[in-house]
Amino acid sequence: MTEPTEPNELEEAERTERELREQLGDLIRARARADSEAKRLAGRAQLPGADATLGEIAERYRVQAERLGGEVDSLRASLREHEADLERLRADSRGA
Amino acid sequence: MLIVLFLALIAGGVYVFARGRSAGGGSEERGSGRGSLSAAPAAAQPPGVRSLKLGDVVNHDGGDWIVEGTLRLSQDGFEWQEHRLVDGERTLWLSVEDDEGLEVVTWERSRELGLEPGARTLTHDGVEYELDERGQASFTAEGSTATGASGKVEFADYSAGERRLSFERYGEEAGWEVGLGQVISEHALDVYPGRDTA
Repeated sequence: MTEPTEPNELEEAERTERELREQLGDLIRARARADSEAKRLAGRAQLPGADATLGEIAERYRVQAERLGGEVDSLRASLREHEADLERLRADSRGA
Repeated sequence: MLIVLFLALIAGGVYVFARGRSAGGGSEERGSGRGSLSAAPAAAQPPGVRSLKLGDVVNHDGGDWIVEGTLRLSQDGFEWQEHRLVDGERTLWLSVEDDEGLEVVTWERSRELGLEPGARTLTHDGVEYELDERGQASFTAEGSTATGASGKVEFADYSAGERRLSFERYGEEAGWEVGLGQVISEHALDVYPGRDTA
């Protein structure tokens, strides 16, 4: 027999879902900024007389965007797992 | 200056990374005693397309689209929103109308389809659209929308099943912007909200 879900457990799980979504949004925006900077600086680095360091900085932004992309994938997987847990808690709550 | 900007972005990324780590293992964090429901009553409501705002991220069709602009429109007390979503160099518009049921439409806008509103039916790309409505609405804009901050917009809406064809003109001097739309389920969208700054 399934134990009734504690209301607080469900509330905490819903709050955690919200936090995971906000963190995912933070990461995606950071990735977009890094990607945009990488492209902008890479373009400037190609201009005649461009500072020699621009290409290096653009590359660092590109690497950062790539790393953030990996974090996005990882956090999205965590969110999916958490959503499955949350659905189970909601089902338990409805059955209580 | 560029190095300073770069370091600032790195610091921001590390902060976000650290926060992500701190709650990334969601199941371990449940029951950790953070806040009560009364302290955060909105927590029980999943973020949705009805409450989209600037900075929110919408995951749709494999892309992570950031809300960079929002038009809030009203006509005779009826209100709806049109959001400008950006994923890298791609732009998509998303309209949200809640009138006897929610209708969510993704739009691609263009000035170059060679179409003008007016006829009862219009054919584009082999699809025949019928005129639904033509009128004028008031709008206010937030973020990047390529419109003024507020004003009037003239519109004409056509439909063919779940497809939409829309014309909008922001000011009498402006040309028609044409939108090709597709009705989608709200469940096809996953919203990652920005943090409330209020």
